Amino acid sequence: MSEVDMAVIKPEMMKSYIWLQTADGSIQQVEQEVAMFCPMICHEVIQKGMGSSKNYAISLPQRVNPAMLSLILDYCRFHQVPGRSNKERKSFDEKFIRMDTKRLCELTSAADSLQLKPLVDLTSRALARIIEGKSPEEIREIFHLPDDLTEEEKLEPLKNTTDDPRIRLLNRLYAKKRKELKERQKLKNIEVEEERVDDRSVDDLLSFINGDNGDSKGIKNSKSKKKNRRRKDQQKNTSANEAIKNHNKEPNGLNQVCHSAEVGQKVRAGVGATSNLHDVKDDIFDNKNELDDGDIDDEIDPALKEKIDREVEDFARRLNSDWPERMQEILSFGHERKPVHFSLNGNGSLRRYANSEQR
Amino acid sequence: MAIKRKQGSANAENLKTRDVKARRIDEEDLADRLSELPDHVILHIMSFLPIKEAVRTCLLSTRWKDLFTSISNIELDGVLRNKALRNRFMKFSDGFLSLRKDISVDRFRLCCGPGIDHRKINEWILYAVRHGVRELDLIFQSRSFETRHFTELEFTVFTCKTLLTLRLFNLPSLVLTIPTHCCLPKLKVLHLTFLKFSDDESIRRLLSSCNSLEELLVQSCELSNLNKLSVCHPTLKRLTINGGHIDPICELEINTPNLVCFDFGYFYCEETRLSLINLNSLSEARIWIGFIAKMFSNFCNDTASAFDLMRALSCVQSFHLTGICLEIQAMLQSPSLIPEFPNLTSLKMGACYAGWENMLVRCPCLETLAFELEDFGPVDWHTPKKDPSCLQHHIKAIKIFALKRKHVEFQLIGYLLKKAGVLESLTVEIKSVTKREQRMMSKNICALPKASKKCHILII
Repeated sequence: MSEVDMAVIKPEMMKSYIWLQTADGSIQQVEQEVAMFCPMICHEVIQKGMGSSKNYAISLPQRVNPAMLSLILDYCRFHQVPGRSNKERKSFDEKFIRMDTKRLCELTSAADSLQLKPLVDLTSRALARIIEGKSPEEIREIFHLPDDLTEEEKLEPLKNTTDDPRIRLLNRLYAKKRKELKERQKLKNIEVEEERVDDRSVDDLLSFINGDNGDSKGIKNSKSKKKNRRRKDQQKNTSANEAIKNHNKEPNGLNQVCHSAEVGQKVRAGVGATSNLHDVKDDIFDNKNELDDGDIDDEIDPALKEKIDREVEDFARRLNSDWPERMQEILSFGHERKPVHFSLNGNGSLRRYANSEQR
Repeated sequence: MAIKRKQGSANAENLKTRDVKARRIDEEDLADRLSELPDHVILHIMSFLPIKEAVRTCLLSTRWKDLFTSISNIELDGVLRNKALRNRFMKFSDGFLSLRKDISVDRFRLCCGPGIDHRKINEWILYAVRHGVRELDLIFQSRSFETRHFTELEFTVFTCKTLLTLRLFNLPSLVLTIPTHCCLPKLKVLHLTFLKFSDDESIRRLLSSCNSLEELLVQSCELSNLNKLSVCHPTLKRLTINGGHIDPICELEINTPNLVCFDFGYFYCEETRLSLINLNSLSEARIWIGFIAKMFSNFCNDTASAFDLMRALSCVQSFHLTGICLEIQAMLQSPSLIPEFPNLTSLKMGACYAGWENMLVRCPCLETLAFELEDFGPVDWHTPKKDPSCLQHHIKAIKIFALKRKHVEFQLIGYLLKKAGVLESLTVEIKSVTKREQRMMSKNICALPKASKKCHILII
């Protein structure tokens, strides 16, 4: 037994104990002066009169499991002794804090729930020392953090903190082009609208036959998405000129796509308002923080954007795969879905045919 | 064959369960405990990180994405070598403050070197003040900052109602003008370092507007255009007036009934009037009074103010008297002039030519004695006529700092060891000697006769 323990053993009459119960149900008794070092326990004893017997054991917060309680009591037992020098306390703390990160986190949590501020400070500083100077990947690895941010989310704030002049220049370039594209888009919209109307009428007829009205819009958007997706797949550092070129192709492209593309069975609703520009923006980091040029382009909800991205990716993938299998797949879908199908004509161009038709 | 196969499959089964168990343990180990911590704890951890790293935690995971916007402890260090770095710093600071949630600021520390746009500095400090900052540290390290750039700032900072701690650190090129409506009602700690005040009124206004002041530090400030510096705060506990020049005709008035710690160091000039009133609660004093070596001839005459000073400090428990000016020297040599120090348990003396033993006579309860030998002493050693009683009966620890090769210092140690009846420890710090000399000196010291048997000698 250590010296401290020896000093603490007194006749039963003189010793007071406090009863503590952890979340798993186990109850233990602890010397009063040790337990009272924790503000939360102190409060329970003084304000509510708890802890005096086994039946009235103080229920400790859930975050305090027996292992952590034992550690915390060790800490309290040492520090509640008044006569210790600062040097001794510091030395104890340094040895005490040596444990793996998992336990360190648990200990922080437990100490916080017991409001034991000195221990929270000690563990927080230790965790900060571990985090300091490490890259996000390293930190994720040490603490097993999930890597669940999308590429864009990762890139957005990256712009703030690293402030790579190349990225900033790129941003400025893209932002300028964005503005230009927006203007052009306004002009183009009229044309696109007209084209859409044309196709829509045909689609309307077809869908009327198939019994579905919502498809046509979805088709158009999916096509434009597909086009943009292709652009996205290009290198990020593509010059803005190329972006414009692609965009200019678009109105024509739409027509082509109408006839050559194959449509998935997904109905894209509600994204009619989405302009093509947003995908260009997707290549660049979304300017949430207006650091460089003060452009506010945050028109799509990021979650929806993500969903759209995935759909487009999916569509592109399917488009690129062998089309006979695709046809089989599409055909295997039941009567619930009412896609408009395309088939390859003899001359290589696809034509539409209704659901009921077979190849 | 069949048996083998059975065994094989049994083994496979075992492996499988083992794998499953291992996997379960792995899952436990791979749990993300850090993100489970409540927000306020994670923010607390982030407060110990440099701010750039704290902001970068937004790249870790979705849980961490927006946490940085709640940081309340903001430290911006803009002392940077080149323009590119400075621009990035300014952009970062702007960006961070604009992204930050609209919550109060606990601590704001701003360090600005040359080249930082003063308009931005104003903006950032205004941000802090508008968000109810409680602790404000402003460190300006540039000669290029001009007074006119910060007049608006002076107005906002010196009327900030939420400030508890204000620390200003400046080069003397900035002359602070304190506005007439100066009001810092909650201010408890005020540190003024390297500042220059435009006139008496300024500093008077500043000091009188802080009614709850508990700690005041005036260090290396240009007080040469001041006529009177008056510190009269009933709540003040710690006072430090250090370094720099105080104009010869300046009057220093200190009336602080609750003062516990007094650190006072300045160049004394015979015309300086120092009045220390009402220092009854004083427990710790550090006095360093150098002297302006031009009035040698007069030095014996005016010991009155030195006496007043010592008398005002006589209730202390811990006293550091280093940098002793001639007036105090003179006083020390006339034992009857030295006041009694009834509570003194710890004494540190330095740069004392003679009379240290007279000081000891006046401290009956002394337990710890330290000598700062930097400028010690008499050229010749004179054994004191009367041995101080505290040395024989009370002193438990003696520390000698900056011992060199001087013979007289060695004799001092010899004398102390011979007379200290209850001495428990002697610590000697040896400086500026070769290792060999150090070893020899240590040997000699340890060989000295000791009056106290339990004395333990430590040489560093």
